[in-house]
Amino acid sequence: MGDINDKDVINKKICIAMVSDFFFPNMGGVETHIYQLAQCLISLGHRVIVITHAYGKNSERRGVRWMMNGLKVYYLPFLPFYNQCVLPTVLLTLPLVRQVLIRERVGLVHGHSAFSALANQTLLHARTLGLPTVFTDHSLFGFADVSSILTNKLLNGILSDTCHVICVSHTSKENTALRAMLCPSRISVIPNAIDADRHSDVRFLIGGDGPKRLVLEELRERLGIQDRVLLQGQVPHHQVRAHLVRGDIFLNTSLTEAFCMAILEGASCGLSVVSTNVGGIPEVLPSDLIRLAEPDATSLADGLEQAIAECRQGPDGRRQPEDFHRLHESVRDIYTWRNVALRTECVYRRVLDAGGPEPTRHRLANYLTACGPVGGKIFLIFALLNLALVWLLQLLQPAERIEPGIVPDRSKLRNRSTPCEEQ
Amino acid sequence: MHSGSISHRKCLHKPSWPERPDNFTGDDFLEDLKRNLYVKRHSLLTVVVATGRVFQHFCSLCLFVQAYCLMLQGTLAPETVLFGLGMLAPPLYLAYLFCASGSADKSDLSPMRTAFGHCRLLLVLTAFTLMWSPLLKSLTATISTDTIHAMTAFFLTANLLFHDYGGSAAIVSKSFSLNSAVFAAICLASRLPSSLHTFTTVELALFVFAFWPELRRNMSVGLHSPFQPVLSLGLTFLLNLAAQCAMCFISMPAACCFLLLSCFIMLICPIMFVAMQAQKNNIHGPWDEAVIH
Repeated sequence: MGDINDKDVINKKICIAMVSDFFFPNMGGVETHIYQLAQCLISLGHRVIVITHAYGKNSERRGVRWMMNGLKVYYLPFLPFYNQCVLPTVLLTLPLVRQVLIRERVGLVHGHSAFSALANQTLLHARTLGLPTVFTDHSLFGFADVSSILTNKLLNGILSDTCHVICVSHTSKENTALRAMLCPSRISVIPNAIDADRHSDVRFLIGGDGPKRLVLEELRERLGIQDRVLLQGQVPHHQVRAHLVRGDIFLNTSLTEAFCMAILEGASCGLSVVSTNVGGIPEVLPSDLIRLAEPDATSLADGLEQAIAECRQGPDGRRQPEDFHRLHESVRDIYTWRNVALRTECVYRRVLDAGGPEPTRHRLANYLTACGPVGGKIFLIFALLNLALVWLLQLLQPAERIEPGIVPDRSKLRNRSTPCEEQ
Repeated sequence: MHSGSISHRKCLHKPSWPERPDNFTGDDFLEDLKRNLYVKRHSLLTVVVATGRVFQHFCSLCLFVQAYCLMLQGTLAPETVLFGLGMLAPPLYLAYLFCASGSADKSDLSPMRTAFGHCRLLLVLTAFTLMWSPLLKSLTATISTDTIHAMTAFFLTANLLFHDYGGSAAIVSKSFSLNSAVFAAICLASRLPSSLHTFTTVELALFVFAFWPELRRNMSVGLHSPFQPVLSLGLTFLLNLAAQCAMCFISMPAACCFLLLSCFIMLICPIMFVAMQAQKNNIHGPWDEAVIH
């Protein structure tokens, strides 16, 4: 991606607020994505803050923390009540979120994950305050049951007032366009990435926990290939690479997946990848690097047998170091966090260049046209309440009296190299 | 698009950016979208027969309440009801045994053993009801009639809602529906003049809400005849006719309402259901969670 003029980018510094219920010390794909993207955006010259809820048993981790390279993290004192998400009170998060956004002179709000109540609410607050918003959807959702109908309607309301949406795969884009009834041109596809060189910095959660792991374990027992297939579950992040390179084959049995970082990590460690053909998985790796199987035991076993047979062709019945190296080389440059950051930055610029804040009247009218006769009115009521609350807060705590946060001087920060700068 | 050379196939691994913007939407967008893959469409006949199953129970319930009303009026003597039950029960029980022998879920017990067990149960229930009927009669006597009627309506509605019509819904609970019906019967029994009336009401409730639904279920499961839908519809018609006639004895306006209600449930509702099937719109695609076969 050499033809991007980096100077051009640095000239337009923005302060970006990443918002999600899911962040370190929680582990997972969304958490990794936010952290890596934030680091790369910082190295591109932007200022990034992360807003999440308090963590820990007695929410010991709350308040402000600084992470590597001046990444400022706000652990707001909201308690998670279900699945690490805050209570969806819609309005009650506004006073604090408004304080943070004004204090940090935030220019753009980027929410992550449709499951995150905090992200959804903050996107609404940001729009009420006249800020542009971007949303990244990390997961796939069905349409058939009552819970998905409700969640999809909520997403419809939130995204109808979001400037641009990012999805991690084409399948995920189709899914989000249908769920939120969005125009597909408002959705960009930017895949996830992995840090192919510096595994000690990356937090991995390898697919293979929960009920799906049992299915896989049964299959492994039945075939008697315990020594050939490694099941990681949740492995401490610095040990992931060590675990992966002990094996020859990486078997992924996910039943649904928007992108699947796990197979990428497997391939990057040089493993022969066998995976179920679901969701966005077939988009991730070129067909010569992955064996796709139908999501049932026989088909997966067939794929696995083929992979084992290929391994046995080596001189000592195992794959050779050259094989590992070749595969690693072919994967390492496809998905990099720097690439993700540059592409995300494009989205930000697009949103910021779209002109000043939309007139409130248009925003409100948009709910009625985009969210249907009943849902539209409900969302409209909440948007109006939010506006009224902002007006009240402006009387009680005028924006001018909120002192700006300290901006760290990057040159004085201990210069730790990030994955982005290495390349 | 200036990038005609780049394949429009869905792939993430080929570097398409920045030549092609990330929000580019190709012709392949939603190409794997499938509609109504597993949607089952029902014919009018099957819908009417299935509605009939619900309506049969509704009519039986109406007949029970009508018997109570007629006994309260004095038009119907409890002895007549008991005589009718005595005449109806043996042939219906034989039909029950016949259907049970044809149904798939046969128990290990021989038909004789099953019949013996049923007879013993019948004797125990009858003896107990007979013994306790003076007490049952006074059990809810101090409660005002309005409250009794409200409670009866509430518990009979619960019976209708929780009854097992042959579907597999989470709401179905045989024991709860039977218990609420028996409780409604005991509520009603307190308004009747004698202990014999109480006995009759409870026995009738046991017949209508415990035995009769089992017989109907066995008939729909155990009879493997091409005429099964016709038989089921015939039974629905007979029950409806009986309930309609009984209603005429009680009140003409109520009978008219009942006729309209019957038409609505048995004709208009199924037609609406079948017509609205065209509205079914279920979407499937690669984002659906895979099902392990």
